[in-house]
Amino acid sequence: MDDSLSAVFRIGDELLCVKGHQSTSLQPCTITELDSYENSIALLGQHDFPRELPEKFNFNLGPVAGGLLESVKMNVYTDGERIVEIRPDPSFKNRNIHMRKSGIDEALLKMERVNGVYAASFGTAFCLAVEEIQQSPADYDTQLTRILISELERITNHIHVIAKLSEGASQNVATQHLFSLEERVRRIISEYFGHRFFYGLNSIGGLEREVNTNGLGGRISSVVDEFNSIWDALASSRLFLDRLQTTCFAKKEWTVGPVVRAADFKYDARLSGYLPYADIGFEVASDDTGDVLSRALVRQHEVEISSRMIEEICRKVRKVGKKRDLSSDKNGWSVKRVETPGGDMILFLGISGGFVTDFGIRSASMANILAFAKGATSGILTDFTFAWESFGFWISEMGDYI
Amino acid sequence: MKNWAVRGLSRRRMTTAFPRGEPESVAPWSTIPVKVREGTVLCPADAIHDNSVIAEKCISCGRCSDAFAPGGNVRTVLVRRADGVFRKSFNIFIIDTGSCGACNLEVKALTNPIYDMHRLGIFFTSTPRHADALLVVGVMSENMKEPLKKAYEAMPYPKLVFAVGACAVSGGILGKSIEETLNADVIVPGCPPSPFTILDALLKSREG
Ligand code: SF4
Ligand code: SF4
Repeated sequence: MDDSLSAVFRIGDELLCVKGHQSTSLQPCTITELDSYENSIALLGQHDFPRELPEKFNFNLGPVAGGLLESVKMNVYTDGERIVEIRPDPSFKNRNIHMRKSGIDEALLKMERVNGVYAASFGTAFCLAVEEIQQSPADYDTQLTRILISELERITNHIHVIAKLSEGASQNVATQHLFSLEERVRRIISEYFGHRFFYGLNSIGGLEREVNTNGLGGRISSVVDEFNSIWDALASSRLFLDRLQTTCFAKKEWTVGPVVRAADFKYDARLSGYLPYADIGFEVASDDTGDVLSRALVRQHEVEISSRMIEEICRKVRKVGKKRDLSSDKNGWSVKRVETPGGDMILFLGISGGFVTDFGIRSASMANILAFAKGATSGILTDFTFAWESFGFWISEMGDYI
Repeated sequence: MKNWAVRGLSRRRMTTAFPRGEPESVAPWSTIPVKVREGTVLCPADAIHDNSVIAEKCISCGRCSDAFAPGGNVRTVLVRRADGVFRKSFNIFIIDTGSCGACNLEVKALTNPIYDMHRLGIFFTSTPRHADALLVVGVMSENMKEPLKKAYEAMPYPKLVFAVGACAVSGGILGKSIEETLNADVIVPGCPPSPFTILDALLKSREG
């Protein structure tokens, strides 16, 4: 039975946890009980994993360093070329975002900006939680459009991660082709949805702007064809494969997203049916080796699956009108799990009188950071980039909320 | 190798005509809205005053669409101080003081073959010691104040500071502006600003 620890939320003085990869039920727990889980320290937000200091050479990278897209500090302990320990510290750019006491619509805009790169899926999770509390689900076409934007977000993100892996392996021509493709998808997104990162599109009960899908499926499928041909060329390069294969194994059941699926666990929040994925031919991509190459292969396969689902949605939904519904005054709380491009994100939300009263997120990056630290240990220093990029971390989603 | 060369040629020229020509693609809601009709508007960022939008505060959310429409103009930067000494070569150091990640990606996009800032003599550098300009993204988070000050102090003179995105410029809806810690010479509005707007800012700051 899957009873791995998925999330820990502090609500007042209480500790509540979520167990398993599908559940959304909260159970009271104690620190002593949490001690028996390998990943509890990371889920409690204690990122400087407190273990014995190795008697080895220590150097710090960051929090500000060229090559790192966001501010994060890496305490790296080495023995010659070999990494004996890595302690990532993502706390530097912690924004302490004020969520409690925000009005519902304002909180939705903040939620999109927790991780702007995942704004479609973060916004969708928030809307689903509010709509559940208010017992007023969005109509079917809106639900399909939310899948559409989440899958476009996944394609853009996966292309970006593979471009970064290619960049790390100095495959410069492929890298530039991939970054151009990423830009092409962003431009398509902006043309159809008004914003390159979907900001402001989601709203409670519907969508804030009219969406017309005419021609979208074909344009995305042509991007994906090109992506696949670049991938095929990259995958025929021994140099590229050598850097990815057998690098940074992560085979932990408590991880999420492409990381857990690359380790042959077929966990994916989309299977739970929080949106009608079953109606549009969703399938889970997986691999069994659990190294950097496996994670890249899962992403590549997911790009294809997302593209097929996008085409299917465009066949079913031509146009969706603008709609927003903030009229309900129901109070309560909800737990939602949504598959962001990095993996399953768990949102805990409480609302009362039109304002947020409780808020917590267990992001994919929080779920996977310890697996990176463990996987990169005993690798060599030059593999560090591949290990880090293959997880697709976003430090922005690892902060605290007030 | 031949494969890559053929692939590159078959894609033809990808690079934008900007800044000589107009941008080929503008994300409507990344540009500053303008009033087009009467309507009720509740701006979450308090960016609307006297029927016009304060660019520095706008978070590109589109919640004003009952009365406002995207302006479509990417050349909306405010240059308080420029320096012509950087005209030939301009080295930029990026620092993230508390961003959501999207501003970082729009800045990074400037190196892709479509924006290709290298053709204009603009480069990213991996250390502030070699930087002519500091490009700051994100709200001013407490733990990044020291690294921000240190990066600025490590830079040689002359030097410029860019506040990129609503968070860095005004704090947006998430926090505080970086200007409480460091004065910005160039203000780049947007949430996130379009890569064209960031490129425009880099070019205008060299016109002194
Ligand atoms: S886009 Fe949003 S922040 Fe900007 S003026 Fe309109 S409502 Fe205000
Ligand atoms: S300005 Fe907008 S896009 Fe940029 S970091 Fe802030 S929230 Fe993100």
